[in-house]
Amino acid sequence: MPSPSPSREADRFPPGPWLVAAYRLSLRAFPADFRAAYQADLLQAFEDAVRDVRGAGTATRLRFALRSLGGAVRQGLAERWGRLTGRSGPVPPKRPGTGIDEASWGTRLELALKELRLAARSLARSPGFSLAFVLILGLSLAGATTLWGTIYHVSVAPLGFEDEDRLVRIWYRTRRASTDSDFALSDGMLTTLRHDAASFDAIAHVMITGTTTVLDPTDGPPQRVSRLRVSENFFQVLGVQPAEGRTFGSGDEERDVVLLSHGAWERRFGSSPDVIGSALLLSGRAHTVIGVLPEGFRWLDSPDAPVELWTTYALEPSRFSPFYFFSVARLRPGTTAVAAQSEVEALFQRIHDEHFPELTRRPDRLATVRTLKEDFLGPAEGRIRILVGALALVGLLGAGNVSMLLLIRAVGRGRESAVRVALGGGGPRIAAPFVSELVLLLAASAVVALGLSGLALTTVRDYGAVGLVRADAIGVSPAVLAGGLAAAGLVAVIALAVVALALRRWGGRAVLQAMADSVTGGRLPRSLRAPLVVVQVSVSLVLVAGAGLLGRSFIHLSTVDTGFQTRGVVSGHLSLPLEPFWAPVPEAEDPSDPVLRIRPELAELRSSLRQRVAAHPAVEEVTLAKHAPLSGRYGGFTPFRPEWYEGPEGEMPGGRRWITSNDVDPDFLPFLGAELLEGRWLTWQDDAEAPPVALISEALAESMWPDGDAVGSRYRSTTPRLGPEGRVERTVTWVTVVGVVGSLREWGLEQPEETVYRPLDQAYPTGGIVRRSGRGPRLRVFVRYGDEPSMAVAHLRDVVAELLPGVPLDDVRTLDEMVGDHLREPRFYVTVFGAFGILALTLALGGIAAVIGYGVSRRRREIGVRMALGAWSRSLFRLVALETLFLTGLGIALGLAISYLGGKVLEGLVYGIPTRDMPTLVASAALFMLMALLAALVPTRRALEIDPVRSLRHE
Amino acid sequence: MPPSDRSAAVSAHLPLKPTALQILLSLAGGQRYGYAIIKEISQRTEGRVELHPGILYRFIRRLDEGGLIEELDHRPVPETEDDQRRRYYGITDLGRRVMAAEVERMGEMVSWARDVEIAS
Repeated sequence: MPSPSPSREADRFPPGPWLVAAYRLSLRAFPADFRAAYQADLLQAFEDAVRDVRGAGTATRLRFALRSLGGAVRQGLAERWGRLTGRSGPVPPKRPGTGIDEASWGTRLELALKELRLAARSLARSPGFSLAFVLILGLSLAGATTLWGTIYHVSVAPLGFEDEDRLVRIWYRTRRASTDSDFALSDGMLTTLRHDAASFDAIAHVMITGTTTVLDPTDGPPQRVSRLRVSENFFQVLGVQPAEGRTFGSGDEERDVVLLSHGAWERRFGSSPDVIGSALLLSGRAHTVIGVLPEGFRWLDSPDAPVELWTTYALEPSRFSPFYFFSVARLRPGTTAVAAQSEVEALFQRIHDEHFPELTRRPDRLATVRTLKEDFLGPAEGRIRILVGALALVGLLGAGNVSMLLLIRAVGRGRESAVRVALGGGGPRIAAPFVSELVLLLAASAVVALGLSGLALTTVRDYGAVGLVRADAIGVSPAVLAGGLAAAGLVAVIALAVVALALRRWGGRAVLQAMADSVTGGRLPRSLRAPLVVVQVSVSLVLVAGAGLLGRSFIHLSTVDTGFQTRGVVSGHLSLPLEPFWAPVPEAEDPSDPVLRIRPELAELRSSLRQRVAAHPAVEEVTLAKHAPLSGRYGGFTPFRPEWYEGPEGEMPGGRRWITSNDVDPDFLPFLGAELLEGRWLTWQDDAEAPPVALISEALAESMWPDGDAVGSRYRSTTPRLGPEGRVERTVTWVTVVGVVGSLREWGLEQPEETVYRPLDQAYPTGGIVRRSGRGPRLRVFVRYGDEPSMAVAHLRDVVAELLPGVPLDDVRTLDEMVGDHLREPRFYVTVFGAFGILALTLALGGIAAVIGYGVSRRRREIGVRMALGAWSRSLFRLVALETLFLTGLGIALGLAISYLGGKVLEGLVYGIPTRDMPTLVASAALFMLMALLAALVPTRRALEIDPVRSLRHE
Repeated sequence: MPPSDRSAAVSAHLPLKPTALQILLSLAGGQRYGYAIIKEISQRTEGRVELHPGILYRFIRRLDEGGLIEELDHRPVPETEDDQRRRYYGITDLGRRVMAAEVERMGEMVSWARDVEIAS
């Protein structure tokens, strides 16, 4: 046989040489000295064992192989662990003089303290290194902790409700424009679900928006407080226990009862327990206070305005639109949200067929059921994932930088290590100084990081994350601290691993060798520091490029043409009472479908509001509409079907679906500066007597009348009318499109919306019939002010107080503020990424400077010799700068590749530019290269100032 | 070798881990090399104790360092019949005393347990 022993082994052992090789590999789990002593025996025993199982079946042999390899790894690691923890196994270590364990622990502690003292002294001798280390690590730890703190409080922390995994929210999913959206529910849907859905223990409802209510205290002026109306089982479903009194219970939907938030109880009632049972006058109606909610109770539907008063609301079972309610349901034990969703789907299918037959275009499904936590925190989830990514990158950068500094330190200490080796110190004795220095540096960095991240988290809470769900909870908490500690630990482990790797390669004689090599710059360390620089540059380039993309997208978004003028307009919302604007209709027979008649007072109110508000020098113009632009989910919707469409269902372009709608005074759109593209504006002649007309947005005109013949065309609408015998009938009215306006941003800033605008006079004709809801008419007053909004707002409030005593003016905001609200989230992410981009850039540049500086200091002699031999400054510069350029270039190439491939992650966050936006990537790369050269400049200058004579004497 | 040997040198090793005791028992029956120890323990315990070579050698190292066993200079079997690589181990005098003390300790334990009738 020609080949030597390996193939003989292969002949002898059926599993083949690969198994022996694998076994040999798994033996590497043992410490090196153990292997040196016993590897041959272990292999021998393995071969013996293999021989024993040779005849066995495949299953036995496989089990044997797994057991052998797994056991070797496990035992090897156990051996290492045992040494680390000082438990050396069955036999106590032979240590003369100390037979008992306590003494050995004492000795160990003493030794450790001695090492720490030594380390502290040696760190004090190189303050530059220590400071750089603490700053770099402190910054990256602070960055990581801040990110984690934000992520934790916004997305990870529990909501704090009882058994909250079983709490779900049900949505009615429908097609809006070209996308499917989740809608709130209507009275009828909720009633049907309560009756027929078996998946839930209970279903509660809560109105989609709170209102401002006027609270009339017995003494003092009326106060405005925010109020939210919920079902009587709302707090039971959530499992909220009252701090005082009781929460709502059965029958409370029929009573005028009110619960106080803990905050309201403290601020407005001085935490007096006597308030329970007393009466509060809310918008003119007496309500009995029955209880106080617990302190930590937080409802996330209205993160901006904490609700102070909670009252009940009884559903109208026969109303299937509009959709005024969010739901909170408790799943029956053992049921999942997925199972519940398919049950709700079937029920919604029925409701859809019965009540919205005109909606032919179906969304992908009709029901969405997801856990409450997902629902509240889910929208931010994609962004949170990106933050987690940034967190990992920042952590990586910190660890990389720290390892690099430690490595440089290790080389600097080569002589001391060599002495320790020469005096017989083993691996641990060489590692000890590094470990103890690392411990001290970590502790100092942790203190710096704690201070910085506390500051940063407060800043994020107060400025950065305003309007983000639960942003007010952001702060330093035990979970956040634990995260920060874990990050510090991870950094330490990575850094130690890198240093250990380096020491192993240099260990003992190799360290001396490396020192001898220092004339030429040393080959060994370079193989380690080059990849560190490359990885660092690439990672930070990814962050910088991400920040650049988000920044450009943000600029796009904040300069987007909303379709309306925002400057100098302030508006406020009025939620009118039923009386005196809508009156009951005694002749309407069907109690299951209650209707109200519109009384002339509504038109009179609108007209006098306009006149009185306009009659002030601070007010330039005034107009009314039902909703403001950008109202999104809180705006109005109408089913839409153009007249031309008669064919089979589902073939209409875009399909028949819910369209955003607004009812407006004729001057509303010109007031906002909308652009009339075709036809005419609405006029005051388009009143209740005139034929029904509407303006539509360009986006709607394009999708419904692609041939451009929208003006003059008609679409179908239904109006409730009181027929003979007091029956409510839906009559079909055909609405003529009289004009097309440039699309306004109605839902979000991202895309133009398909919208219908109808005259308020025709939407609420005097004497007309409206179906009853718990609410009266809603109106929004828009005022253009000259210079100062406050005068105009004060006047507006005065007029409202005069005309509508007891009705508060809600949600007073300028249009600029409304647009600003839609920019909050993008701004937050831009800020976060920007900050981390800058941090990453700083860290990477620090790293580059350190590496180049290190290279220069190691080449002092070489440079000195070259200078003595008459080398130019320029060629020396090239010597140093070339390395920078090369390493940075490699890192940039890698970073660009990662950014390009990973660009998809930013989808949905980036608007107006592609996620692989080349100009941004190229600009980031160029910026990086420039900064890297600048960073290399400092050490290079130092190299040029080297005095040949002194440098040759240096060693 | 009195069974009541509780000198400091012996009691420093007590109690023994079960694996250590098994190895000492095996070597008390004759000088053996690694895999032979594993086989002997397995046969004696009817397969109830199967040692992985890794754990065997971890214990061998410690027992060796503790002076309870020793590596043999001579080979009990003629060279030709055996592989060059095998290392043979034997139990030392200290090892025997520790083993006996441990067995006695365990015996005491069993009799105490019988006294309170939790075992029979």
